[in-house]
Amino acid sequence: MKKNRQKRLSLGVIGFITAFGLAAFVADKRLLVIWGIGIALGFVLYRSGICFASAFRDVFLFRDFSMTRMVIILTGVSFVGIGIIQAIAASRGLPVTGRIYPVGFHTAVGGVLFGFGMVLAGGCASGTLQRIGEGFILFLTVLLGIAAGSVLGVYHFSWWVNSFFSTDAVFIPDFIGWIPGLVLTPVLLGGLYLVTVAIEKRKR
Amino acid sequence: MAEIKLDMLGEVCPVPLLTAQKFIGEMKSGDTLSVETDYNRTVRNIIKWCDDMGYDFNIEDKDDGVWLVTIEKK
Amino acid sequence: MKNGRTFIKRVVLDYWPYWVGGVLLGILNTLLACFDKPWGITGNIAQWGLAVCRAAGGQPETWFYVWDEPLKLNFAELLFSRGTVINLGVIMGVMLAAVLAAEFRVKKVKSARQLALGIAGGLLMGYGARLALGCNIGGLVNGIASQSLHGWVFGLFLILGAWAGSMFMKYLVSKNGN
Repeated sequence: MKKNRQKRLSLGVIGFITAFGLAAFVADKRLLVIWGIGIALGFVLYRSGICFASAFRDVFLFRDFSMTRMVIILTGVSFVGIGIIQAIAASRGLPVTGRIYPVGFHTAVGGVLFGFGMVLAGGCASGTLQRIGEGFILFLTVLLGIAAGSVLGVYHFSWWVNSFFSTDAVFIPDFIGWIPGLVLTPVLLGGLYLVTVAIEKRKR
Repeated sequence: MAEIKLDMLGEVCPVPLLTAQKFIGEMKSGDTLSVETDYNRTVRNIIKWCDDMGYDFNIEDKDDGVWLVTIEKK
Repeated sequence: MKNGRTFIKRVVLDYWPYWVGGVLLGILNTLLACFDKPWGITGNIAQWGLAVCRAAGGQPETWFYVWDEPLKLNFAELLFSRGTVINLGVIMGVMLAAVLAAEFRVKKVKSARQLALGIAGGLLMGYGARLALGCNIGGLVNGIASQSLHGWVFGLFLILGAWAGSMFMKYLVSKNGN
């Protein structure tokens, strides 16, 4: 019905995707795969209307937990995938991969600031990229804000780490063992999922 | 039958839905509220809200990426 | 006004349910994890900021930080780094989905208030993400999925910040005549 209305724009976008993909391939073959995954991520984000800020904000404003459940599902699927990769690495005696970083007072402060900021701006980091792709001029300035804030954050990082409590990365299975770790995360995620369903039911 | 029109072009969540909720609170039964938006998530949010509240609504495809959502308060 | 329901069928149901999006993103995230690291966004944006900072005469390479990928401060190198390719890919993927559905539209800045909120929100997000070593995706989703404690701590305090932000936005809208 309205499929052809933005045909020329579509051709332009496909042209850019192809051209950058070729350039990335010349720079490093693996980058072409990464480029493809990035495009697919963006496509899925748009088609399914995903917004991470909504997962936390709409809970308070509209008692809407539907996006919160999406985040829990995404985390669960990623847990399975990354868990398999980690297990393969561990069985070969390689260091455990993933995003395992130091934790401390700076994590708490960062969480509060990030949470507040994403509600003010109307989108978190992925939301900002998404909205730039949808044509929001506003989010170009949000992106500049993130970059500028990041520079300050990196500059101050050592002060936060040295002045307040901070510890090395805590990989949970190192402390409670592999099997309990593999049980704990799904139980917590599943519990949170059920809590969101229960709260929504009670409101009706 | 009062009719209120909200221009939400360029606004991002949560402003359109919060504003719509604010206005519908002041409206009488049978009044209509129309929200013009260029953000697809806003359309989706409003639909879910109308379904929750039992309001009737109509969506008009005004232009590429512009929608007019009309809500009737019951 | 019954044709609202038919409209959902025609266009809006073309949108995928959230859970489908969640599962697909999880699979793509796992694919990325096969290439060194799971998905992350803000680390790369920070490196662009630092690259500009160095071009302006600063010495950000001397600042202590825990990077998720090698620090690159040269624009050409940074453009073809993994992080930039993912971020630009996300932008182009969204744009592709929007233009194919003929829903793309340049959206102007609405008001000075919106611009101020956007810049303030961006600054807070950038600063916060660097302190916490990740954003919603790199820190929360992948922190928890990698069984790192920092993901859970970040999430807990993120809720606090989002609550405060939500109350603030509600107050702004209730006060504003719009």
